[in-house]
Amino acid sequence: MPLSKNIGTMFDFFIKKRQEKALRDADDRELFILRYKAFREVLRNNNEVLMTMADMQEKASGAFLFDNAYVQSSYQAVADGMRAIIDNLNVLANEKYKDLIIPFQKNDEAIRNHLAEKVTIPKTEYVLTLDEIGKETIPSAGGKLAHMAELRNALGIPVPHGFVVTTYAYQAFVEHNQIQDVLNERTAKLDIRNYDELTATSEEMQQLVREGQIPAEVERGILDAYRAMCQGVSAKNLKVSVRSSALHEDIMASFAGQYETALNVPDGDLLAQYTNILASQFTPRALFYYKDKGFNIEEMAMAVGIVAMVQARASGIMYSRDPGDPKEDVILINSVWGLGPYAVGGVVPTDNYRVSGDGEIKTSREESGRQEVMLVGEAEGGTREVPVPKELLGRPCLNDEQIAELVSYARMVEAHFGQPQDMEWAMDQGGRLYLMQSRPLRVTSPTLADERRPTVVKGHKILLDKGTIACRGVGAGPVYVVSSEEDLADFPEGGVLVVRHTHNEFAVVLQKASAVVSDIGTVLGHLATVAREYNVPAIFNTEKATKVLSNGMQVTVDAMFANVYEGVAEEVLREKKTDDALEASPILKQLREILQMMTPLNLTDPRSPDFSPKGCKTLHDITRFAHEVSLQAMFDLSKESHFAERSTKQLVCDVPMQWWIINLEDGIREGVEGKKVKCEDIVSIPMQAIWEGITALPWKGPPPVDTKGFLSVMFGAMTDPSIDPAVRKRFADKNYIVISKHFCNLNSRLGFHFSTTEAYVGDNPNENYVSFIFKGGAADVDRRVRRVQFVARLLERFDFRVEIKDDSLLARLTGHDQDYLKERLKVLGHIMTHTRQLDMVMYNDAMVKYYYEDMLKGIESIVRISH
Amino acid sequence: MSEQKKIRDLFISIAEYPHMPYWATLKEAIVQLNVAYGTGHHTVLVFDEAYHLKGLLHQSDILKGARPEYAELCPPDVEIKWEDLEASAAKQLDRPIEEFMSPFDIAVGVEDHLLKVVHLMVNNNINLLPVQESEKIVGVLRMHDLFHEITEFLLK
Repeated sequence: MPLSKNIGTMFDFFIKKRQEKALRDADDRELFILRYKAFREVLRNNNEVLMTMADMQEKASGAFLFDNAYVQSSYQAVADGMRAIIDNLNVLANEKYKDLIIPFQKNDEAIRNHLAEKVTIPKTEYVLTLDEIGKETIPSAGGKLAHMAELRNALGIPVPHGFVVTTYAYQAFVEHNQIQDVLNERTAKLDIRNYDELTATSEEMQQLVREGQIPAEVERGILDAYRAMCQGVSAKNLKVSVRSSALHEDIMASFAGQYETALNVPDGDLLAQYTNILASQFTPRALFYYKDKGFNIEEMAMAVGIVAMVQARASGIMYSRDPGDPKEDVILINSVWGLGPYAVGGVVPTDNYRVSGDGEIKTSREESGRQEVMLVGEAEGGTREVPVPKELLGRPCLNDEQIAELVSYARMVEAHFGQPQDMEWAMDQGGRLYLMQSRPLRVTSPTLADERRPTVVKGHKILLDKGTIACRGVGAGPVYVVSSEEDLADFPEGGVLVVRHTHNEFAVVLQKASAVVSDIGTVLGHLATVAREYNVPAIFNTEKATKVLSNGMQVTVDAMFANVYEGVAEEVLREKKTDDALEASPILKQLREILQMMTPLNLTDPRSPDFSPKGCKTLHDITRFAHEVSLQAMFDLSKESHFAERSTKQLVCDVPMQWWIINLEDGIREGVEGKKVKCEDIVSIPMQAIWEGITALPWKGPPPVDTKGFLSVMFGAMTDPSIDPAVRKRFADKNYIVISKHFCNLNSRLGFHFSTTEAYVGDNPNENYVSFIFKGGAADVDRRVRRVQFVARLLERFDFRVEIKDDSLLARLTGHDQDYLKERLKVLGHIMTHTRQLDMVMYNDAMVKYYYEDMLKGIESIVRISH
Repeated sequence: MSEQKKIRDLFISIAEYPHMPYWATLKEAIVQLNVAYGTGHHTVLVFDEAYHLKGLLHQSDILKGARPEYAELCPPDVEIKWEDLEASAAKQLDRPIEEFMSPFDIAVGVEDHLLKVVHLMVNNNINLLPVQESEKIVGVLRMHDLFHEITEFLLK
């Protein structure tokens, strides 16, 4: 061993010794409080990290809109939380888990490198035709034109002829004019809250671009493509619309309408309009948007679409959904006579159609007044407002067939992109319909864990109709109920995982599962995270899934509305996510890629040797590990601390035992002075609940003697070598209760057995937990083991996760709301007092059964637990 | 004689024998003995919280505690009904067994001679004796097992 390492180890040793000594010193209270606070921080940050990761996963499903700034700030929040978890864990556990920083730093670095990657503009031709582009070429063609091409190429929907001047051409333009540095500098310095500065900078930047010279090759590319387009439609001097198609445009709804579109542009103005559109990246509102959302200036790369002008007889907007009620099968269309710009922004009254589905198309036309004027293209270029011709005044722009045609387009487009769409349509003078563009429609966001009113599909028996959605989606398959880990081995491919509780260990079969349904569970828990990871539809908190569903039943799980149907409900399954428009969005790809380093869970089993800092591969693993060991560390801390007489108060109560209270902060009503505290002055929520359990039913037998008396009674036992020394040692301990308003650690020694109950019960279910250790007894080993099994059975009945080793038992519940845990704490209070010397009677399994039923009856008479 | 068994070889270990804390109810003791019906164990050992033996609860103790009391046994004008048992037992079932148990005053050591046990059992008219080893109760010796051992010797 090298010397330095040796010294290091010695040094650590001394530090440790000193700290241990400190712990044994007269008053541990201050140190205890410090560590307790660190423990609370671990739990709080753990919860926040999981919440943020859940939100990111939700966004990564593709059904939501977000931007680069969202990804950056969310990850920053996760990273801050992770650091806080690791730091506080080490305060709590006395630097025992310093190594945890290693897997974190590794992931953090990888993720940050990933996040810092610049959007690269692919090297392409300066000009690409609609045939050559599609949603996979967004980085070259920009969102708007890529989508337009997609409508034509993938769906066969009529769109006007056109081509795109690529982002690569934009790059050539910027380089040719050597303006990138100036643009960078102006944007970097800009204070967007200062309106004057914003407009001045905007004007300066736009001018810079407008005055720029188009590189000769780009110019030639544009003009050649224009001529080819004219030839293609056998028209001379075709008028065009020149449309912005920025990198993120029409991928994120929030980009809508940021940039310019020039209509009815004659060939002579083509190049000038091109630079105009490029310059529109730097309008005040576009600059504001970019800065506000935290984009990089490099991402401001503008492709420009040159699209044959449709001299529209009528135009309008079409939504594939009602944004206010996206669940309803309805398509909204508005229309105006003339060119499209009048269809938006309330320039003129529009015709509005509401077409509902269900096979039969019901059209309702609502006229918001008569359109008197319309926008038309001028022969020499540009547009002009003219009166609506007499013969059209007051007439509907669209007939039933045309509406049906548009509706069929809307359905196709939504199905193709897998999310509601906002489209622009136009009808030429010959009555032919075109779609001009399509982009995601911003709908009322479905929120995470939203309790929904059931929307029921007819024709199938509904088995479960309430619950919390942990991962949206639909799935079907045979039910497979898993009640313990042993059941996992036989989980069938495509099965519907049905569990009472969302225990982490069950995550191992999620890859095979078509859906998950639980009686109880938290949407921020690990199982939920993994369900979202694998995109397995999940409904939690159905309350009675394990009662209603049994092995082998075919069911359809609708985790859009939290319903479970008997059989295979095709109607529900049709809702299955197809594709999403964001699929090709670089930002979505980036989010999904960093989530790969964040959310997968490898550490499912705390008993596995891999359950160590070394075994942590993802951030989720680190949180899982930290959460587990922080609970252990807190437990040990309470156990190992020795409190000075002066920091304890004796509890005055009817229970015939002596207890000493250590108040960490706010566990005792304010203003209580002196060495004693009355029961009614305890305001610790978990302790009150335990106490209720202890006192709800009368004591059986004589009062247990106090420590001193007990010691004399136990003198024989104390020296009896057949009794576990750990048990003997406990006789010397006092019964301590460490409390704060939401925390309680209660040690009770009753006869030869002792138990420790620890709980945090606050407002946030994801931070809450209850741990219970039960050990000891004076009867023979078989009887002690039977008693522990008996206690385990009772606890499992009340949803605890129980582990047994010889005659000791560890039970735990994590992640539940306050009311739920309070009832469980009452169960523990009852068990800890009423199992006194019950090891003696555990003669055989028949006796165990008798006492199980007897005690269950007692517990059920005092707790409110629906089963 | 050297192959003759000793108490150590003959007694039933406490782990195999029904026992209860003294505040267990009469009802629990009845359940215990019914559960042990097939084993031939007819008594409940009663311990205190420090696992010291306090007494023995025999079947007869239980029946004595639960039975109906009649002023005079079976007078011709009093009808004996099952309901009487129900009524008398109802009051007793929830009472602790220490109120019904027989005191324990004699024990034998694991190394004692079997003939000493014969003597103790016959003189005191008892069928079951606690066995102790270094001050600690480790089991019981039953008349039943003792009889078998003693008579086997006689017949040989």
